[in-house]
Amino acid sequence: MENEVQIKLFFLIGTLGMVFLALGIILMSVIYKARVDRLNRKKSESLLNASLNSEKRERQRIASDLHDGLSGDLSAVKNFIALLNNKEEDYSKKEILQEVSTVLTHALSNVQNISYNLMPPLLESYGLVPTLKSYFDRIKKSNNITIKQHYFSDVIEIPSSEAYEIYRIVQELTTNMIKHGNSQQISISITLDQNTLLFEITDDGAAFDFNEKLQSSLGMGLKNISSRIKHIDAKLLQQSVSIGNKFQIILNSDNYVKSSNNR
Amino acid sequence: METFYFYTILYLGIIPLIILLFKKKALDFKEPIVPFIWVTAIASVYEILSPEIFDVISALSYWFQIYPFLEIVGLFFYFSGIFKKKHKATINLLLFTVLVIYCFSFTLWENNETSLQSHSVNKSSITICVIIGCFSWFRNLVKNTDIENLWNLPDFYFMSSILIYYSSTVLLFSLGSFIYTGVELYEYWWINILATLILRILLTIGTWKMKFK
Repeated sequence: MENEVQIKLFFLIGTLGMVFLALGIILMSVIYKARVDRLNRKKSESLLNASLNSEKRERQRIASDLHDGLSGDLSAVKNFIALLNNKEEDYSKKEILQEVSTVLTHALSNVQNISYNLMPPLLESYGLVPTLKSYFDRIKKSNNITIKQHYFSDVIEIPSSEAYEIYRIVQELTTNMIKHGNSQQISISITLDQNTLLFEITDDGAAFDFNEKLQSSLGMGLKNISSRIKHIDAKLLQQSVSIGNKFQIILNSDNYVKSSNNR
Repeated sequence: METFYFYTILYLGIIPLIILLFKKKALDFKEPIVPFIWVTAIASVYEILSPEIFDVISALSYWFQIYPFLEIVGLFFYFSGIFKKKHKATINLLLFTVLVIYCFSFTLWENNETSLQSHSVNKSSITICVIIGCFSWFRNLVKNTDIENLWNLPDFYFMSSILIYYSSTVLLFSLGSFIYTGVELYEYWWINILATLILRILLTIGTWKMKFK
């Protein structure tokens, strides 16, 4: 009888032990895996930050090299050509020098454009809104397109790193709208709703599904937008519209925008 | 009410196979879990129909000797498929040992009363293999950095279900012949019912989440 009780006790405790062992193995694997995944995510986020920061630094360096080096040299050559042109009396040679001067002017303008696109000089000194205005002015000059802009303030004091990423996202989206969507009209607005900065970009060109294209696209443009959105901890939403596309970038701006508004 | 629960659990065993039939993959033996799902469905059908055909004791007696063989086939097919070439020698050695023990169990199976003893022997050897296999799989799982979400991994459900079922019932079956005194074993049978319920629910979720190429 006592033996029987012992067997039953052993059976019950043993079964409970085995169940806990099984559940323990499963639970430990789940917890450990979640922890490793979290670490991996953090690691990839910091890699992304590092690569975006180094990209920004490189752009800055190349832009300043082009502006201060190549652009300066081309200006100097252009001045020499102008001097030669003034001294030259042979009409045919003067004509050639004039041609060289025109080509140099084009080259200089191209270098300045490349330098501007790599790193707009206004961004660091004047902030996001003047940079966007200047960018859209340039776009209007080179494309037959209407651009409507609305900004809740000319001074939006967000950190320059975030302003830079927003600028790049807007640049990529509008370039796509013009290049692939043949848009005739683009609107951009920046509004502040409580603690949230809302950037809205709409166009009347060919519609496309951002997420679908992101999955299938071989190009880097949309992937870069997605990485930059992640980098600044913002959200990109695509609203459905009857014509064209409408994108919203939502940036939480708890501290910095408030302080700029209070000034 | 008890009968309702009992039959619900029995019918649950067929659902993974029904899902496979809907996905038109019931005979896709490239998926290592498919034979085990067939074994579970066959067990359910047998458990539903056998009391109508045979007397309960005879039905149990034969089943206790046939079912372990089906389990061995289903489980070793699954583990071989999961580990592929890895641990091949260990799996073959374990399979050989389990089959030898299975053959030996026939010497214990003389009549309906002794069928519980042979079943104990078979279940114990199968459970040891299952625990070794599941432990290796979970160890590989935590090392694998490619898997992002465990909850979308069908094998996670299959392994968890198998591990929970065999761990919780090993003592019930191995000590069954000791604690069997008339109706007393059936006082503990709820452990098997509960474990079977968990096994079948997790098998169903895993089968539902299976994606075929």
